[in-house]
Amino acid sequence: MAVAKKISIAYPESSLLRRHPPPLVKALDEVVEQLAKEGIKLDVSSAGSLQSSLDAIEDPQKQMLSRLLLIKGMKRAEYFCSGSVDISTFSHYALSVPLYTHFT
Amino acid sequence: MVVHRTLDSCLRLEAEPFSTDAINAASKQCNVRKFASRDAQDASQNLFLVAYLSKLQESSPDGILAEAWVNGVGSRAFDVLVPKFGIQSRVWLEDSMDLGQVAGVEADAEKGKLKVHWNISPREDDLEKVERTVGLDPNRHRTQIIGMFDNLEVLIVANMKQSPPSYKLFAVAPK
Repeated sequence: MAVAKKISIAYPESSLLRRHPPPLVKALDEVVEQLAKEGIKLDVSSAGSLQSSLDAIEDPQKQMLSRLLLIKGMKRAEYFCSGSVDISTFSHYALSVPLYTHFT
Repeated sequence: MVVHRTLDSCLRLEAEPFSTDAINAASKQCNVRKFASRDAQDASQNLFLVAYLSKLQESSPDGILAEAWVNGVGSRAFDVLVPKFGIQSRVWLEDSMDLGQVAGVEADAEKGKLKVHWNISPREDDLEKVERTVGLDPNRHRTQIIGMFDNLEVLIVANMKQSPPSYKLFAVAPK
């Protein structure tokens, strides 16, 4: 993360970063609705809140199945060039950070 | 490595080491390679899974029965996870209808349930009096109600002769 910040400030048009776009709202809402019918409440305001609401599901089988449902709606993380992509899409959803790259 | 070199130049306060186009090309290539390698990994896992299922199928030619957990309910199909093999798949009731095993299905989207009317006689001690609205004789059918998170049995049929090798899941009439 620190590396990502350093190089993107120094070279804002040519840094190799990694991002994870957030899931589609529609797909996510469908899953939330399906699970709500079964008495499971998910807070999708952020990746962090989503993780906490998943952890809070007591039944291990239901927890695993709920996670699988959500994974289906997720997009893939990808590498990108800081100069070629809209800055509002730089963030990494699953890691909950605004800027990221692979370094090690 | 690109990132290492970029950081290195940055710390030495040098001018940008790579052009925007170069980084663009590099990131595209990284994505292509990474997704390809993931696809290859998935294909390899699938191959070994189907080979294993086919081996099990030698002693059980009709298919392999396994416990499944429902992970989604539709109007003509339902999704499951088969924990024993790590399989995630959709089960189509149409297939059971084509085989003549199922007379019809009814979806209750509001409750998220799917009713499956099997062509076998109802159990003596059917706990739930199910309302049949599709004009079927209740004495000639056994109704299965499928809901989210239910545990039920499915039949897995593997096919090594197809390319890529595949498997198909079928619904199984409840006992």
